[in-house]
Amino acid sequence: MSELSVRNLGWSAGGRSLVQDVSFTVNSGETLGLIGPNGSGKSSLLRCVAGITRPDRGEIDYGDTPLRNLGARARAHHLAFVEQMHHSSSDMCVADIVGLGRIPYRRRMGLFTAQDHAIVQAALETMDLTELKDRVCRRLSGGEQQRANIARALAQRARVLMLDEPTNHLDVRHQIDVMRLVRDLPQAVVVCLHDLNLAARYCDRLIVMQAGRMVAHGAPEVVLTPDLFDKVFAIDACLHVGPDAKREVQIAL
Amino acid sequence: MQAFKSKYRLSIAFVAATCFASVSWAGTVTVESCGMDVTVRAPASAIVTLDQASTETMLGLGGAPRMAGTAYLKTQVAPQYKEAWESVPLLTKGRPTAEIVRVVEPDLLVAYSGFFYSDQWVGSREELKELGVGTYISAVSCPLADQPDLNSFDLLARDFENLGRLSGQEAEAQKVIAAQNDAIEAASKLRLTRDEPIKVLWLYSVFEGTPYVAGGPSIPGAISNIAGVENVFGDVNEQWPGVSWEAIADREPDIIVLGDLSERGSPGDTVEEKIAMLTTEPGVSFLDAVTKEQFISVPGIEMDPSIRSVNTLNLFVKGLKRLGYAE
Amino acid sequence: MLDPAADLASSIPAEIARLPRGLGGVALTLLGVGAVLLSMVLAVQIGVAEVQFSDLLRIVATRLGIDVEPLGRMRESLIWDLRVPRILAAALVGAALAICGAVLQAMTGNALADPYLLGISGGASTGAVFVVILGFGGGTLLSTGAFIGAMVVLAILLLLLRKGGGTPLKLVLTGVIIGQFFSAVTSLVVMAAGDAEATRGITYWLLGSLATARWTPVLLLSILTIGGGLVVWAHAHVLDAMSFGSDTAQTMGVNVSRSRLILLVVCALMTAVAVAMVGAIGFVGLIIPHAARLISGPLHVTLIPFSALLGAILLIWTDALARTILAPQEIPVGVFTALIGVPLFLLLLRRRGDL
Repeated sequence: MSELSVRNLGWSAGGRSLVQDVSFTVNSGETLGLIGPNGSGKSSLLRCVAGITRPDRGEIDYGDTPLRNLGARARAHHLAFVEQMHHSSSDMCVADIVGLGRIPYRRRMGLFTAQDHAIVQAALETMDLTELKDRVCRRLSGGEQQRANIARALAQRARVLMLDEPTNHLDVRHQIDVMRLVRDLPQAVVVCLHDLNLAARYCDRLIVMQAGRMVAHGAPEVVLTPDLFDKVFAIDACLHVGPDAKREVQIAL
Repeated sequence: MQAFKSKYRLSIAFVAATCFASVSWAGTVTVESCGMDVTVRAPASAIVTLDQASTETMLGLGGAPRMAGTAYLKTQVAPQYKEAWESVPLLTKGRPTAEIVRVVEPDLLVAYSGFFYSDQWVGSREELKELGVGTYISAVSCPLADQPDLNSFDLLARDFENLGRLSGQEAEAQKVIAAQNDAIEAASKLRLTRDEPIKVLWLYSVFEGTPYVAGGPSIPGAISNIAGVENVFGDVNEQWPGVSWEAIADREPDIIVLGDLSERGSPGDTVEEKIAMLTTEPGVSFLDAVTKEQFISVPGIEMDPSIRSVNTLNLFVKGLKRLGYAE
Repeated sequence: MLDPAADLASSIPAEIARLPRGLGGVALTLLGVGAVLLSMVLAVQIGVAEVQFSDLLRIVATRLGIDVEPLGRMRESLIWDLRVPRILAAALVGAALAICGAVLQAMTGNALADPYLLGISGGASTGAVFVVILGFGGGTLLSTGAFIGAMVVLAILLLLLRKGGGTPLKLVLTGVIIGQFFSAVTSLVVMAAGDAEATRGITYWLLGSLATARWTPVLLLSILTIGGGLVVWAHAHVLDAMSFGSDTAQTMGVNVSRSRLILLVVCALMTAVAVAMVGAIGFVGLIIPHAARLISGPLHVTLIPFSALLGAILLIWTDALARTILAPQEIPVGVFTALIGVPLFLLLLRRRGDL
């Protein structure tokens, strides 16, 4: 049984159809990449799946439970969402931010339990933030905030992790580190990406969106054909698979 | 004989009845003031006056020995009351507050207007009544709907009488009322030198470009009626409405009475400044009253209803005679 | 692997010191409560009239039926009907404004938000001038009018925010617009009425003054402040999540729109009652949450109670100052909070490193 299964999802807003007839599944340990040009609906799709916007049509199941049957707290046990970056001027420190991920498990005014502490610690370590755990949000760089955000999602211990363009403000170095980390996570991951190279290299499967429709679905080698690059992204490119199975997008100038 | 005796008995009965109407059994005095019965153990012995008009009135009635405090001083107290005033503690020069007033444990508060008796000032009338403190408001602030022809002087007389009763100074009160009535009578016998109405503008102050003048229900309004002149803004049903220079020019006053507020010391308060404003303000500078300097100057504070208002009446009459409008 | 030292931002020194949680927090809370109580006891003795703490004890004893020599009626009234409610009002209003300030700053994600952002004080002013102009005079009816005005604003706010549920930007814009409109109406009424008397009855309220505090409104305010404060505190996690982004909050198991509604209504009620009683006292709601954060840290489970305590202490002392500095004159405390508030705020901004 897949962790997440989406069938015939549709959503319109302002008279326009932003997501149309999208279906896919994600299993444990898999990393699914959503790619597409701007306005293709990948963010909208992600937000529908995360339960932030209510879709007009379609079914979304987490495990064997439909999304709409899940209460708010239960939902948070099944999925964790990392928004597109916005720089926060909050006074919260990294440890606090990661601690937010434990909210779905805490009583009303409950303070941290030892278990909460342990989980937060683990998440910090995973994102290599242990040294920064007392650094205040405002004093973090974009990349550090992003990592903190992802650590927060990890602390949520959800079965499905959703990230909306997590590499946007990161240095190349950090982009690679984050994607590597995400790929190695035991959870099912759905990640919206701008960067085709990262998508090609680190995702197990890809969904390509164009004008709200899913135009391709499958492993990168299968999906990323020169034809697709041309039709969807309007570039002259091809996917090159190296000897160590490393995938790389080569764009003709 | 029989008829005389019964008439005599009737008069005694009538006098007794009126006495008992205002004095009840346990040695208290009750008067009606702006919708509330004010009762004090007669006579009041710890009177606090909350504003200058009330202070001067009370002093003028000889009430200083019975006063526990005064407040809210705008100008120097009139010289004839100076000594008495100094014998009473000044609680505060500024606005009186609930705490200030309660410290001296008064049994009667006197104010010229009802807004003094609110939570932000000295406390509500009900609150104070429960503490056994009477709250008197000048009758000028609440003219009776069923007696519209009582002018400000009549209402002042009522104040004098009430306050006289409350403070055990009935005799003094009668004297003050009599003096006021004499002045009014003298003024009403004035012979004006003109048949057509003499129009008078009573200018109190100019604040942020707006002239404040005397309306109908005011001391100047009453003075105008007594002297037989026309208050140009007598049709406005407010004591001190703010108007405009155009409106003033439109009504073409013959005489302008200027309130001298030089003690207050704000810009434009002195008579000279007011004259300067009138001569330069394009709307009014062409008026005969301005070019021919038909000005009468009176202390601004005496234009408000108080025991000193009768001075304004006298000054106005003098002014009319000086300018040749009366003999 | 990931090298934080390379980041320029990481080289900025000094974080804000925060106290450890757990036992340290409990001790500090007790200290805070003690400070509030001490402030109340000291402040009740400050003012135009000489009041001793023993006087207060005698009044309480008399009321409890214990055999002590009672104070004079007027003196007892001065202490029990004026001073004590005033001190309590200072504590409650300070706490209420500080709590609402913290909530609004979290809900709008804006460090400059304060409880009046919703336009409540504008509506209250309009309600108050309507009552006064209609000739009922000042006193308790002013408060009633002010409260009704505030509730009208709340109703309009809820109506306008019905669709799209009060996202931070919408909240700020709607509140500001409504507030401005009602402020304009207030000015219009005050100027058109032209009655110097009525205006005077309301001027000091408009500036914010605790002189009007009496037992009945204070009791009402205490119910609302304590009740409302507890509701807000129960939403501490929600506030933390919201200050990090409402979409994220939604996925973390927070019912964002419902929580926003509850918090909005609770804060509006607390602010409305406070303003109805004492007028709009500014700066407390803006500054106290920032100051409290320095002690308690940014998480709302500690920020809310500390804001309340600090707000209470600030207003108790500001009011004590306002009624003694020019004694026997009383400066409306709203004037004072602005005078003190601005330099304090600048100091805070410097400490945060924003200036």
